[in-house]
Amino acid sequence: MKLHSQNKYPLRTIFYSILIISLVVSGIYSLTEDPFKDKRERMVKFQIESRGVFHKPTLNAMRTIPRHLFVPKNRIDEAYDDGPVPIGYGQTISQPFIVAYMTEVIHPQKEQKVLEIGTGSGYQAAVLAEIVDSVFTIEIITELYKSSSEVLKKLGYKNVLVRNADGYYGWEQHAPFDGIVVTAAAEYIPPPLIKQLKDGGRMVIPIGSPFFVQSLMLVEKNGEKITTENLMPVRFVPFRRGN
Amino acid sequence: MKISLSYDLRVNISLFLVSISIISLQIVLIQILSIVHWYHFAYMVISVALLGFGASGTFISLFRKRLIEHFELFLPISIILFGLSTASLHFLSNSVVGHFDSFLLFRDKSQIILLVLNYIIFFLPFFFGATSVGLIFIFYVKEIERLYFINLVGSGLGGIFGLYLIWILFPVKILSIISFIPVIGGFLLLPKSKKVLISVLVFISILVCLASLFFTSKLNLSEYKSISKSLNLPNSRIVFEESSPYGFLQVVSSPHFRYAPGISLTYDKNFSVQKVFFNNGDWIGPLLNWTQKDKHHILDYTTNALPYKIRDHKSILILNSATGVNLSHALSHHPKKVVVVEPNSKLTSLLKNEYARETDSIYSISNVEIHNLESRTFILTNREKFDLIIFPTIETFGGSSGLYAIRENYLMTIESFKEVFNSLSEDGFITITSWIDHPPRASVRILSTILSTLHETKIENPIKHIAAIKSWGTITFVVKKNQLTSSDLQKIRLFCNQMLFDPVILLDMTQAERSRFNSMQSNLFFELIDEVLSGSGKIPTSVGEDYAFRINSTTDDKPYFSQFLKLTQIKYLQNFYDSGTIPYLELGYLIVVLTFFQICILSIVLILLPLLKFNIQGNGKIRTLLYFGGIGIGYMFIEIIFIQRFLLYFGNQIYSTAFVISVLLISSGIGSYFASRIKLVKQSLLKIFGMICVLILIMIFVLNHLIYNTIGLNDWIKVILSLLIVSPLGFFMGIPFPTAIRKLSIENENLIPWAWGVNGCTSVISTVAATIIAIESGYNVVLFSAFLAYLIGGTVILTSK
Repeated sequence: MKLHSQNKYPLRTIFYSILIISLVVSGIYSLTEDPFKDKRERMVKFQIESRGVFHKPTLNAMRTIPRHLFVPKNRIDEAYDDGPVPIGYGQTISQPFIVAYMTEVIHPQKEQKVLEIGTGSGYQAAVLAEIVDSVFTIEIITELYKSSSEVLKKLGYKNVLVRNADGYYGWEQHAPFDGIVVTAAAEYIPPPLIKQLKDGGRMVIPIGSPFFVQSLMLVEKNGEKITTENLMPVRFVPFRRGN
Repeated sequence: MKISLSYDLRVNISLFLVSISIISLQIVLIQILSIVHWYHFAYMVISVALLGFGASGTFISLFRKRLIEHFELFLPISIILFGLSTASLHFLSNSVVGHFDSFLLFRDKSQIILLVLNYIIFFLPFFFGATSVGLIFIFYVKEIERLYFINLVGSGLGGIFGLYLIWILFPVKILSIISFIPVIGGFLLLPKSKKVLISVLVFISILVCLASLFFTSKLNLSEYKSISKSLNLPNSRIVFEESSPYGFLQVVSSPHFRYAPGISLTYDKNFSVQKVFFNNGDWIGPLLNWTQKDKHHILDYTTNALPYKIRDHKSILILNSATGVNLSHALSHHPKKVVVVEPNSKLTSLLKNEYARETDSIYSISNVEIHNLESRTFILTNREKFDLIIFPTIETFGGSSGLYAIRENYLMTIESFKEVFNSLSEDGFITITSWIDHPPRASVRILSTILSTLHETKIENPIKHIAAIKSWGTITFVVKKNQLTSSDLQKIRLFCNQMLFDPVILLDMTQAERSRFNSMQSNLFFELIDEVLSGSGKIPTSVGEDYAFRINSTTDDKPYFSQFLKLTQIKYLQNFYDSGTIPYLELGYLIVVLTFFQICILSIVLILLPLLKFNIQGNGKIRTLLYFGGIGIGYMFIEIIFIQRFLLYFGNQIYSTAFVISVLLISSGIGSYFASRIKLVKQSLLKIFGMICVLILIMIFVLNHLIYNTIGLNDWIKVILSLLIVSPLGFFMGIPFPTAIRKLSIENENLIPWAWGVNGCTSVISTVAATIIAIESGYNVVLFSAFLAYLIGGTVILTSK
């Protein structure tokens, strides 16, 4: 047997072996590596932290959740941009900063129960679900309800319950809530939501057009006393020349 | 080439038909685009499309020889293509190009491509229409005066025809009807040679026109318009729709509609409404489920109820009542008389008749008096005194993002407030509610207007006449003719406590009271309010110059209440927000400025440069540019001024616009006809320019006084007076164009298309420029600019050989 004679070109064999191995390894690596991870990091650092949101659980949640899965396929490139993205039906997935700010402002904690009105893409519900015990979210537009339920299910959020209904009435069955996040601007604050807010609970509601949320309203319930605070403007300090 | 007389007659008829169609098309397209997008986008797209006039001049200039050689062939082709492009316009823009959504323009780059494609689609009919007119003018240049007369009279009647069609048909169908007219015009001019070719073209055009008439798709509205969002709600549907020149009125029914603007947090009942009215896709108001038997009204739980909590009112005037929410609220407080003013007669007729059962017939109650007029005109003509005058709610929820920035609002000017204040009884109140916008603009401007009014009416201690309260979302001002009493103040405080509202302006109020229930993280709102209060209405320089928005009160000369953007602050705002969000903050005026730059650049690149590059023979291009540019600008400025002023005079946007366009164009047509008798000598032409300049100067000094002092007269006398004001100027303004064309035909025929193109371009540019000048400097400056423009034209004559 001429064992050696079977391999006339050992260097070539080694070269190809290394090439194949490295291709396989890089292929596996690229499959496991999230290509949007850097984008998320930059989003949190430059769009959120730099504007004064430092709530760690919120920042961690937004570093983890694949926001690009919550936008239409043709808009994936815009998913981590510093602005809202249209998701159809006249709705948008809010600007990352707004999501972070609205989450932080209700002071979410691990053992809490939060209600969201206006599931939309489902992204805000996912962020909340990373922080609190249970999230109840209501969407009135059936198509959005279906698509958001699907994404949330796909991502394995078992602590999120989605319902296709009119958010005005809240979700009495699971009330009271520690926090309520209303993501669709309305020209009234629904009385049932105030009722379903726990004593000491906080509710946040945006005011403004879909592409430019100009201010957020914080509603606080302390016994019989209900107060509001206009957190305006959300994004910037009051502006005068020279400020 | 010998052309028979009958052919000439047919050309005249075709010219008339094309002229009618061009103006009708312009009016209808503005209506359609306002429904699908918003008015300012309609304004932008149509302005760019109208550059078709200028481009036609370039086209004729470049191919003049060949076009004249084959005039009999090219003219009907051009006219038919005008019809064809009109017929296919909706289909191309809606189905072929893809859905363009103006709201996404600043967010989504692909929308820019769609916008450009839409520009081209809308440009084509105007290009072919104007080419047809230009060809006729050039071919029959010896008869220019008569042809220009036909063109202007046709255009004048086209305005009325367009408005009439909007009354009777759905907007998209109107495009099909209009497209038939030029096709008939083209058919009339079938040449003997190439008859088969033209017949095939006519046949295809008729087929396309018929197809567009019977197979028109629905209007594809922006998904960000209020009505689109409402229709996304489950079980919502359109239950009524009708077109009128006031807009496309639609009623939507949904189990999920609610109405409670800035409602008190103490209110715990349901506030659903069954139906909501929309005009051009924008929300105008709900149909409340209120009957005369009901003890309470939803508005009693909002800041709007403030004047009723202070005292009872026997006579109430409601301005711009829309769907009657303020009317039912007023009736719930049992006044002796309510006068309702609403300009949209279609809307009130609907509420009074078709929806009588659902409105509990409140429009037919004996103590309710309805006036279908512009509110300002009503105020100017009214002699009655009222205990309470209610202004419409200002701004929309969350701010209008400048959507109405370029709409004149004569109700919210200082002059208007003074007249309203004088219409109050001794103990009467004015009330006005606004959404609190961020950054603060509208609410501060209201206060500025109120204080300026009181200051100019020589009221001592204006602060003693004003009170304001706020909920979490709205602010309501009340202004009392006499000073507010301590009892009034007590009642205001009580109401605030009951409803969890806070006083914003109240004598002896502490700063802490302002934020008891509804606080703001920033003090900017209160700072602005206090600084305006300290400045007797005039925004103190420290605020006015420093603040990034215009918040000073508006006047009749600059009646743009919803325009807050300072052009000088755009750069600053861009740095503060970012360039992507500014358009959503103050969109309207930004679009006007954008339009102005677009049409200026397009005019230079597409029209003027090609003409210069291809080096048209002959001297005097600059003089032609100045002359035809001057008269183009001057004419449009005068037309815009007349439309604005007569809107106030007649109190009806539709009729006043139709009246001005028709009278001005027809009288100019008569002037043009008369121009054939004018000798082409310097003195005669200078006299014409002299007359125009003198008449404009008279207008500058007399027009406003005449309008304000005769507004209360009988309508027929007003019509006669208006004819006497508009037609002399119109007559003389109709002369410079045809006489100069005739002169050019003798001196340098090659320059005629250039003149036609320049006139077309400057007419479009001046329409947009007039809006910018009016916003920045006022209508009197626009009028003076018209004077200067004609002066330039006269100077060209003066310095000619």
